[in-house]
Amino acid sequence: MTRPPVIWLAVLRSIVHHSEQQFVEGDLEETYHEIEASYGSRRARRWYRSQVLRSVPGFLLRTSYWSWEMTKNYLLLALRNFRKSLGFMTINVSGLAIGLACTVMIGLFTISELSFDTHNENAERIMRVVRTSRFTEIETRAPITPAPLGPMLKANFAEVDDFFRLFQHTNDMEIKVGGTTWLQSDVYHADASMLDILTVDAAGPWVDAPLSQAFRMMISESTADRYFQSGDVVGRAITVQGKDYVVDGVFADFPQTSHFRPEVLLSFETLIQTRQDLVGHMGNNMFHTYLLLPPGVSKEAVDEQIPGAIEAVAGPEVASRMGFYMQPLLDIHLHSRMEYELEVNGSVETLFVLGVIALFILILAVVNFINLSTARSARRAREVGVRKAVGAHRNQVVSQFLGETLLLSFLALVLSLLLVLAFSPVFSELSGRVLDLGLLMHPLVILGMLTFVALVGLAAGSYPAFVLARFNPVHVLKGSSVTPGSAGSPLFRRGLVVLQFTVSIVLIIGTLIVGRQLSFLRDQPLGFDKEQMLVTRLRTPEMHAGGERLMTEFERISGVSAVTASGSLLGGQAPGVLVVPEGSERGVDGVTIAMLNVETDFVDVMDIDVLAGRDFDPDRQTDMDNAYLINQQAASWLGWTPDEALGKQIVWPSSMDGSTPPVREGQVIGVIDDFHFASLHSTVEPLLLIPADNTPTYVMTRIGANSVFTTMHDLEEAWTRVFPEDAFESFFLDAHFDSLYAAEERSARLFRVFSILALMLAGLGLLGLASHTTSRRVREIGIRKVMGASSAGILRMLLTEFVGLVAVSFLVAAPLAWYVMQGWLANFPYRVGTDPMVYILAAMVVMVLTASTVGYHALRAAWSDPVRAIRHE
Amino acid sequence: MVTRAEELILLAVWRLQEEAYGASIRTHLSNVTGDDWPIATVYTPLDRLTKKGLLRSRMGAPTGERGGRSRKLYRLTSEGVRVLTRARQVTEEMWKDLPDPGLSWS
Repeated sequence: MTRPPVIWLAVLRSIVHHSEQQFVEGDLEETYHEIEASYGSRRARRWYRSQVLRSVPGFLLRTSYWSWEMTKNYLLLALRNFRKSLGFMTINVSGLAIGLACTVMIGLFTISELSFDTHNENAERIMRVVRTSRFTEIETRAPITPAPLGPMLKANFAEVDDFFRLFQHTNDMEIKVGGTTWLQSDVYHADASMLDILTVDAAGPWVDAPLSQAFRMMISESTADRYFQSGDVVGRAITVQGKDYVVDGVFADFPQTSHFRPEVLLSFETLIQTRQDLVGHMGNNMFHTYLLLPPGVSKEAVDEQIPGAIEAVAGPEVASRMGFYMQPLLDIHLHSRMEYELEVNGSVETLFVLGVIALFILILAVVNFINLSTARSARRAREVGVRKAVGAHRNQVVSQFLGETLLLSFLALVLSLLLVLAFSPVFSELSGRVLDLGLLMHPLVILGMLTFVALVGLAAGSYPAFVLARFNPVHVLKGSSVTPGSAGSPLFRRGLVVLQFTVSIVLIIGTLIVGRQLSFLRDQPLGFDKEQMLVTRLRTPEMHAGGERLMTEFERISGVSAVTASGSLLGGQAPGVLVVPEGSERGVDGVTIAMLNVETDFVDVMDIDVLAGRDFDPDRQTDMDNAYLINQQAASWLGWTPDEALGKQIVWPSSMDGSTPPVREGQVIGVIDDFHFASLHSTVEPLLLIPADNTPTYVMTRIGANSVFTTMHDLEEAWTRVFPEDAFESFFLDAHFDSLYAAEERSARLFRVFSILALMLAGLGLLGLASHTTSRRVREIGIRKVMGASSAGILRMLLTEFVGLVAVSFLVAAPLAWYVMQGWLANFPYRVGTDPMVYILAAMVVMVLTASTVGYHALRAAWSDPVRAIRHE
Repeated sequence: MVTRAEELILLAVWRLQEEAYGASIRTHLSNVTGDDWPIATVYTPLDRLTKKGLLRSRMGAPTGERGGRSRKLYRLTSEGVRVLTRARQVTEEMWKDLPDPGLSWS
């Protein structure tokens, strides 16, 4: 007697549902032996093979039917199980859902940050020119260049196909359309070639060669909608700052992911024809220059040639101190944080930190999910025992547990997507970036999320599935010690807890330090008095002319203690000018130095100390025409002590070759203390102060503390007397300084929210784990109590383990957090020191969290009736 | 009503009595019809009939010639007997007073 062929038996097994395997195999084997007995084994084998082959369709159908029947059964069981422990399931699923939602949102944010400027078809070939200057020991970099640079590079370098320049109007422009006046932000002068180099879409017709003539302009679609309710826009007249322009066309709004988003483009030709003083020479760094390189040309190919070119034009001395290099367009948003950026850029560090937080949160959520599912399933050993005793197959037990956790994890995914939908407006508010939810529909994203959730479900289900399925039902039912631990060994479980604590502590420390640094920046003394200072900008040349009259009107108001003015806004960017200081090693060919145009009483009103010499004296005509004040930084930079600086000659030439008389020529009459005229992102730069020529731009009015409201009202009335047609606009200087840290504030808010979420998840996980550990020790605790242990003693015993884990986590987390945060703080020249309180506070938060969650369960265990606990087993 | 295949299987179970299980039913049907019935085409109707309440199944003892595997034995329920009787009546009714096809063709 032979056996049926093994191969065909295996085929049969693979298609027959295991509930029928036994008698189907038996039936075939029985007949096989009958045929073998009568006709021999060859025929029997042939028969067997044909039986199996012809039964494939029928059995496959039957198997899927059985599977569905079983699935129905499992689903019912799962639902019953979920309902029985509804609270637990809610915690488990919502924890995972919150974690997934955070990760998805941060993921979408990251994708949006990474996709900046990628909408440009030539993105890879577009470079921005960055200027480096090495006047001090520190090399400064800024994306601002002189206007002739672009044409020069295009004419002389084969590696440059084309260029365009931008001139950014950092202030709002007054734009008159028909009878309406608009205060328009995001106004730029741009070369016509910009429309070809960048990918700019048309919204409506354009004239031929738009922006190629003077006094031509283009406006964005949304601006056009605002200015003109209907009709043709091309050819319409618009007045910008008192000058008449003609509209050449309307362009589609630049995408959210563009590093600058102009609303109004004025032709660069306008500047060329009317402002030769600005665009005509190489000393005036006011323009952003972008280059288009030919395909295949690397930026290094251009970079290499620049020093030689500068030397040829300006001599070796200039070439040693000044340089230009190419910055890829795609690097601008994330990898460039210089002064004079067009808009607030993102930062790759923030992105990295957010990414790490997302990863942390995901780890916390997944670890929780696995731990809680495992802890829960341990209580079901008995159920498994019964199921196996009445004949459940091992595979059935396995697939039941896997199925349940898979069901939970998919439920969490659905819930998380709903959370993302619900909270994306909140996230946009926090991050300042609108999330592209459409990305969630991308097949790869969907596939990724499904795979991930499936893996989590499998991981969470596999331990109980395989361990419980292996149990000997007899042991389980007898109640012998089979209650399994959490996933794997206690060491592994403790490792997970330490991981969670570590993550939480790092996040808390990070959040605290970011918050401290921000308030440090806000409270840092700036070297001048920024309080109660109302700033009013004179927006047009006509307003500049009326500035003196306005200031006189302001000074008359009783609530006003002082009025002064400056040519640029404090906390903004002071323009750099090229001057030649006397007898300075640096000054052979002149140096670029920041210059502030101020009223003569500026130093006095702003409460800035004069270290040497004297302040401007409005009564001396020589002061008005010839004198300079410099700050201490400028003095030491030029190699002078404050006293030495006095009387030193400084020439501000109007042209490099000296063919025209200088703009200003005179002596240093005083050295003032350093004050932060820009934000605290940079150290105080050398600064030159000159008295204003009666055309103030920023009028600063110090208001008495007691009468802000009435004074504001009086100021507005005074304004209307001087400029009856223009609206009164003002802001407080301290608020303006606060707004300089908007980007940090935004990151800090994001960090804070996600840290709190992470902490919540860690708390949830701890809660689940504590409940699991104490429930495993119910009998032990009962016996201890019977033997005379006190409730306090038992509490201490249960808490000690967790407190030890917190301590270990702290030892890991504190150096890690310190290291990471030092890296972040290195971005700021002015930063808070290390405060041990931050670390202690973080440890305490986690300790309190632990004590309250673990303590709750420990107390319940300690106060429980020992008799019941022991009899229970 | 039952299908032709189900009717045949009910008849086979009725004939085999205490010995009605997958293999014996399949062999019986194959012998009578002359076709080698695949085992799957026996089980599907068996299940359906069981679900309809015409058959009842129970597990038998394992035997040696089956490699130690047990059999699933089937028996007609009273409802099964009724349906079978009714099917027979229908068949006989349909044949009644028909000329013998075998004769007319010859």
